[in-house]
Amino acid sequence: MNGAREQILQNLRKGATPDSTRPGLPQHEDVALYRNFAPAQSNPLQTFAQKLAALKGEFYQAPDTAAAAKILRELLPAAESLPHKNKFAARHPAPLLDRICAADHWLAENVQLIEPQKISSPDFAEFSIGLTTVDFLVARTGSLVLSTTTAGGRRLSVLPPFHIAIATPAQVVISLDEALNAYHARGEAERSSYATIITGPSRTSDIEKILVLGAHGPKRLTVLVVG
Amino acid sequence: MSEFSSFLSRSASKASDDTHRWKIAKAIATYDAAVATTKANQFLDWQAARHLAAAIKNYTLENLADLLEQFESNFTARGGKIFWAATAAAAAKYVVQLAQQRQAKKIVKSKSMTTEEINLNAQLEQAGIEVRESDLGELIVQLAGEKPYHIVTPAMHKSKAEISQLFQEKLQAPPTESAEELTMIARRHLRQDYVTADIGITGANFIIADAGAISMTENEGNGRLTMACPRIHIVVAGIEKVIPRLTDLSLFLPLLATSGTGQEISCYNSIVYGPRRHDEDDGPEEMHVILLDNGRSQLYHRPHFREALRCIRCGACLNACPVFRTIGGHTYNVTYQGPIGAVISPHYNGLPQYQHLAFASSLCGACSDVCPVHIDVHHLILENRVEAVRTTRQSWPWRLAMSMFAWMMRSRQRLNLLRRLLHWSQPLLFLVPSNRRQRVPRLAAKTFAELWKENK
Ligand code: SF4
Repeated sequence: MNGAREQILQNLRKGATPDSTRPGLPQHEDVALYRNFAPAQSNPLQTFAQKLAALKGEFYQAPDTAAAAKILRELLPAAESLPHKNKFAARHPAPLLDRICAADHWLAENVQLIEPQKISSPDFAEFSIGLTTVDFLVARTGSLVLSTTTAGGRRLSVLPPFHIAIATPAQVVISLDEALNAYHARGEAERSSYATIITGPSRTSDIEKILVLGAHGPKRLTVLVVG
Repeated sequence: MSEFSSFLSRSASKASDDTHRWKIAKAIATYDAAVATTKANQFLDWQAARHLAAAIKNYTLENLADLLEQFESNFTARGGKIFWAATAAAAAKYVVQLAQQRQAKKIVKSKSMTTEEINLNAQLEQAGIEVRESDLGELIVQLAGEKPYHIVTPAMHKSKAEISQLFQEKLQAPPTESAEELTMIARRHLRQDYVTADIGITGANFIIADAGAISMTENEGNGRLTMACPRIHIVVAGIEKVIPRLTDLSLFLPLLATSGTGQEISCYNSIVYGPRRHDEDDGPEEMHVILLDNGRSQLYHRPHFREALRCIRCGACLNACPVFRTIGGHTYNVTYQGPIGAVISPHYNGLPQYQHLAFASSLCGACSDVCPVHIDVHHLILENRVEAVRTTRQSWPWRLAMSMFAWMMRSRQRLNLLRRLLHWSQPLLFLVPSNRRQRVPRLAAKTFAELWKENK
């Protein structure tokens, strides 16, 4: 600890309003802020799909793993068209991904099951497609919530230029508030060191405010909901 | 030349620079349209949202010491390191020493105004460490050898043609007029840097007390790469960036995105709880958060100014400001430009020479109207103006003129006399050089008081 700590904290304590007259911490539910949709009547997954499409992400839904495998296979481009043929698509170990890839020969052969901790970043950067699962899908904003546990670490969902996220309908929540509450309620052991809220493919408007997709993160983002 | 007189000459030249004006007007018009649509589509009640945000921030500021300690204990429990920096110099020194101890050769950075505030890049480069800015706008200004023009849009002042010229010179890129091509040049240029850098440095948009985590907002993904690949992650954040609860993000992220860029929520919002855990696949081995004071706790003690610490650096007040649009971001010559810069710059350590920024405002209040955390920006500018007048010694002709003016204004008779004198002297206007004559206002034939009497 350095001396500055005590000095800064003391400065802040000296200046604060006396306890008795301090304002309380307001709750969010106190105010209806957002243009909401009535969750009971609407289909949150459909809202999610619309939002994602508006953000230039792609959405697919499959009734079961076999159908999901078929969609996935059609989604994946020919390996020959990509710069590193041997490093085509990568996925991390996860039951949902295991099931889908097991349902199709071609997928089982071509989508590499990797152990991210054993791959150096330069090697990682050669993969063209990253397949991950998610923690939540947020309907109102069309966002995905991922953590290192569900996404095979920090790199798999951001280094490859094409990110495919596989989710289940049970992971859909209405609002960001709901997702964050649920994440925070998990025990310390189940919260990863890193979580990220992804809303559409990577983008920038730094040049003359013109929207360009694929600045540094994935240019293409696809969500496939199974079930 | 004093900072003030160079400020005046920079202002004069920018104000008459049509190309500059056109570029800024175009960028801000695009921004304005996006913000209006998003506000209307996303929020049922924008005013209620900003009041709520202000209330949460007020609570935070009143309990800031406790919340910072709460963050510290939660964060360090997971192996994160905290460094408390009283000054900009202490913060920069910590980073440079850490980089030297770890024998870092290359650092990749995502956009952070706080690292600009502590002038970090220059000090790292002096120590022989290569620093790569990875945000597209930051990369552009770094290559051009400039400072960021705007806290949110660092390269707002550069056209596609200028950026292409720059990329041709510095990156040996082929010429292009397409924003997409230019972005891809930057993407290819930086790709290797993420995976070879030893240290990643980012800012933080929020310090989350109950989670013991920081949150970082971006659109490009360069921040995520900066936090994912290098083996050390350093965060530089002002002590006022705290929010009490993780769930407060569900209000602050939409507010920040709406006011900052007119998006409902930014593309990537990362929440970082600490370094890589032993059972995790990847991530940095070390994570350091530098909590920077640098004058903030002094600002905290000024009754009116505490609310300035609510600022979430969205940049909306810059875009709304007629003075910013006219003189441009570089003219301010401070890290934080525009109205909020005029408020805080003179109070941050070592910058009292920026008192004149209090006069770089029409006090129209556009800044206060747009601020998502309801800061009364223009009244704080006025407070600074009062202070500037009180603490700087004016020249004797000015003081004489002002005291005569005050004497005149204090009585109705004297004021009437002054008016009559001015009226009679109007024919003498020809003495004013013709190029200035336009600026001298003509007096009306009759005063309001006279008209009132006549028409009663
Ligand atoms: S003062 Fe308000 S409007 Fe200006 S940057 Fe800060 S939060 Fe945004």
